[in-house]
Amino acid sequence: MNSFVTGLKRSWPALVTVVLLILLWEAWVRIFDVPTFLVPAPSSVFAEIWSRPAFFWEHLVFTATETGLGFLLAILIGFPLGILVVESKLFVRTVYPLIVASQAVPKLAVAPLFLVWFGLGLESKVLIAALIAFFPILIGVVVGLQSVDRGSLLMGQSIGLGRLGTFTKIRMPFALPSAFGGLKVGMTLAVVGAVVGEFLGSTKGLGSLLVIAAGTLNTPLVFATLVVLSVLGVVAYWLIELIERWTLPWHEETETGGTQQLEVAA
Amino acid sequence: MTGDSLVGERVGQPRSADAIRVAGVSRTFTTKTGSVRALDEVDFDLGEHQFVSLLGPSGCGKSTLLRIVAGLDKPSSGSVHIQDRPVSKPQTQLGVVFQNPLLLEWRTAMKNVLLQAEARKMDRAEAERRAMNLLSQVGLEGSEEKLPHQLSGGMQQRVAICRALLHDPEIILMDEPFGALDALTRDQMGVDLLRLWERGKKTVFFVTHSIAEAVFLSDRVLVMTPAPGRISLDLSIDLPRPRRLRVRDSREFSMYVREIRSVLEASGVLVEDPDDAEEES
Repeated sequence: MNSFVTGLKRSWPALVTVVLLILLWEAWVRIFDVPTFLVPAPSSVFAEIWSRPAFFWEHLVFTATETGLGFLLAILIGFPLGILVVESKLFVRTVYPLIVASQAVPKLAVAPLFLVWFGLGLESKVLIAALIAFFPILIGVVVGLQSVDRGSLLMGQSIGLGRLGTFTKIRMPFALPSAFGGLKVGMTLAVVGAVVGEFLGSTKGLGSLLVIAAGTLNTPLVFATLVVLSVLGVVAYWLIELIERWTLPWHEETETGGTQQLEVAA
Repeated sequence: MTGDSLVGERVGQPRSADAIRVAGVSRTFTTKTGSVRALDEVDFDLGEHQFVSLLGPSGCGKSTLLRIVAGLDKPSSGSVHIQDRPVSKPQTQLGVVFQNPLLLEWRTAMKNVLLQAEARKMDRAEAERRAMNLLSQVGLEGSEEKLPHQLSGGMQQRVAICRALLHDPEIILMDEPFGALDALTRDQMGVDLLRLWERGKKTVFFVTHSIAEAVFLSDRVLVMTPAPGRISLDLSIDLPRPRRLRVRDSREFSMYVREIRSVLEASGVLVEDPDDAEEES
């Protein structure tokens, strides 16, 4: 509760800016009489959502499920691979170069193949989301594990921590902040993957809604879908941040300590 | 006495009295631009229950030597024995304090101390009791549940010392443990360390670059000169114990300091020019 209040205090200038921009947009559409099929007024966009919330909710849940499952799959792939890259010399020489090279292929270009292989349902979107989300997660884990303080490792050696103990008690906690960086990028990419998958062919979801709406020049619906999609993206990102704060309390405390000092100085 | 090997054994020295025996230790680092000899044929023995300082300027190889004694680095040649056993891997029975506290920032002071217990699977309840006791001995009662960033540098290093002492080691190695602290905190830490030492009389091998600190704390000071590092003075300090800070105002204290300084000057470490880089007081 308290953190919510301080969060509000810190973000109110941004909120005010957003509200002003929306008002400006509304005024612009009304004054210049912009046709609705080009740019709808914010009021008509919100009216669109308001008129059938259950409809949007259904599509939102579908896309959110694809994103969530794809993201989880990306974690299940990215974390172990990242650990292997750092721990196993054999893996670094044999498989890692292939993973890195595979990133040169535009992954969304492979997406149509996934639809051929896995159909128009949930599975193909989950896999596309996982495919583009796992790499930043892997990199986050690798960078984190490699940035471990050498002195702390020496200390671990001096007290006789074994390989497993060193990994769980020193290396992994050290790697977590960087891993969370990778998770945040991965999460936003998972949303992109799910939506693009739906573009290519789907019966449900916000992505397919966008394609249908744009095809029929139903611009208010396009904008409404975009708003719902943005909410999904923001909530997904915010969820990761929440888990990060909960997992790394020491990290957050040092950070806020820093900002408090800055505020006092200013 | 085991009769397994003659390596490192030298005639005329009572083996049982040595906590640490360093014989002919050299260490050469190979870099891209060539090889650097950090240590050159270093020899010394450390008796049990002694407080011995290794003094030298930055970069003379004293930290390297400490790491070799701790088994965290290997000598290029020569050997190290700890309580008559040759050192070939990390000596986890020792207590090692590093220059930085190296506390894990996500663990409380208490949990950082208990890392030592987790590493050697000590009985948890017993370890907690000991940790609590040690933390209060260094003046940290009430701070057990604080995270490292909530503690001052001196307090962090106290926690690190408690971690090194948790398993009650007979030998303690300290690598410039107070080097990162301000002068006043540093003096206080020295006094507190001595008080702790008087109680248990462990063998302490203390690396420092402060002449005053070395003389104040030690029974014996080994002075190391750089490039390549070798022991150029082995000085017994016969000042009364327990030591008080005011001993530093005594004539004897100044004489020891002067003697050490003259050796360092002779090796070109301290140069008395108008714009010299003298750092000791």
